[in-house]
Amino acid sequence: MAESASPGTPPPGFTGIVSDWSSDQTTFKGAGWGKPMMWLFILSDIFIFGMFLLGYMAARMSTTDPWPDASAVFALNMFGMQIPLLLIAIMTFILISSSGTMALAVKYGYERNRKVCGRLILATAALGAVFVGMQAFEWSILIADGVRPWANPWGAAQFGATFFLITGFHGTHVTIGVIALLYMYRKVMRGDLDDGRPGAVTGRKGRWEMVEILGLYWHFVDLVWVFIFAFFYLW
Amino acid sequence: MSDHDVHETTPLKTYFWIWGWLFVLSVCSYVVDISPIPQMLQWILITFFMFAKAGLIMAVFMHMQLERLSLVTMILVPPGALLFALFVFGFEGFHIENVRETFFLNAFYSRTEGG
Repeated sequence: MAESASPGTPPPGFTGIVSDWSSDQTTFKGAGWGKPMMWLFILSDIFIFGMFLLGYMAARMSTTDPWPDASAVFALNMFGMQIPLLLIAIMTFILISSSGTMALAVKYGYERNRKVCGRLILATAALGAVFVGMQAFEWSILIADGVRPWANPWGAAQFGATFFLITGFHGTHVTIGVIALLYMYRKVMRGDLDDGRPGAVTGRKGRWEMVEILGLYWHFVDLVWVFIFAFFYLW
Repeated sequence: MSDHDVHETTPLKTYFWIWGWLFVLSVCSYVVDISPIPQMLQWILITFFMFAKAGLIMAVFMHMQLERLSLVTMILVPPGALLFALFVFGFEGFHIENVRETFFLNAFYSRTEGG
C-alpha cells in the first residue's frame, strides 16, 4: 500500500502548527488529501447548520408569540399515557448506534477485515435508513396535526419553518449517507479496496482510507443531530 | 495529543466505552428535560451534555485525538466565528422582540382576535 511520505513527529503545541503550515510542502502530513478535504467539507457544513440553528434562535427570540413546547408537541401516546419526546429519544439512540457501528467498521477496515467491515457498514446503513423512516413518520404526524411552514396550532408560526428546514436538511444528509454507505458496502465486499479497482463514479482507485473518510461524514451527521436534539427538542 | 499516521491504534474497548457514554449522556439530557428543575439549570445542563457528546464523537469516533494539531486547529478554530454570529443574532433578536412588543403587539392581538 502506498503510504504518504513519512511525516515525522511535529514539535509540540503552537510551534508544531507553525512548522506544519510553513513547511512549504504538504501541510497535513500523513493524512493524504482525501481526509483533509472531507474535513474541509465538514467545516463548511458546520457553518451551514450553525447558521440554520442561529437563524432558529433569532426567530425564536424575536417572536412575541409563545414558542410551542417541544416536549408536548413531540410526545407519543403509548401505553395509555403521553410520553414526551419518545420517538426523538429512540431516533437519537439509533443514530448514536449507527455511529458506533461505523467507528467499528473503520477499525476493521484498517485491519483489512473485509467481511466484518462490510457487515458493519451495512448495519450502519440499515440504522440510518430506520432513522430516516422514523423521521418521515414524525413529519407525517406533525403534518396531520396541522403543522405547516407558515402556521401551527400551538403558537409561533416560525416553529414549522425552522422545524422542517433543519430536520429536513439533516434528513437529507442522512439519506445521502445511507446511499453512500450502500455503495461502499458493495465496494468493500467485492474487494475493490484491496485491489485498487477504480470506482464507477470518479474512477479513483479503491483505498481503505475511503472507509474512514465516509466514516467522518457519517459521524458528522450524528454530531449535527446532537446539536439539533439539544437546541430544537430539549431547549 | 498523540501521533498522526498511527492508523487505528484505538482499542476495541474504547469504542464500546464511548458508545456507552453517548447513551448515558443522551439519557441524562432527556431526564433533565422532563424533570421539574429551574429552566436555566435545565438549559445549562443540556448544553453541557451536548458539548460532552460532541467532544467524544469528534475526539474518538472521528479520530481527532490521532490527528496533528495543525489539522485539529484548522477544523476547530474557524467555527469560533459562529460565537460572534451568536452574539450578533442574539442581540438583534432581543431588540426586535422589544420593538414588536412596544409597537406592534396591540395591533397583533386585535388582528388575531378578529380573525
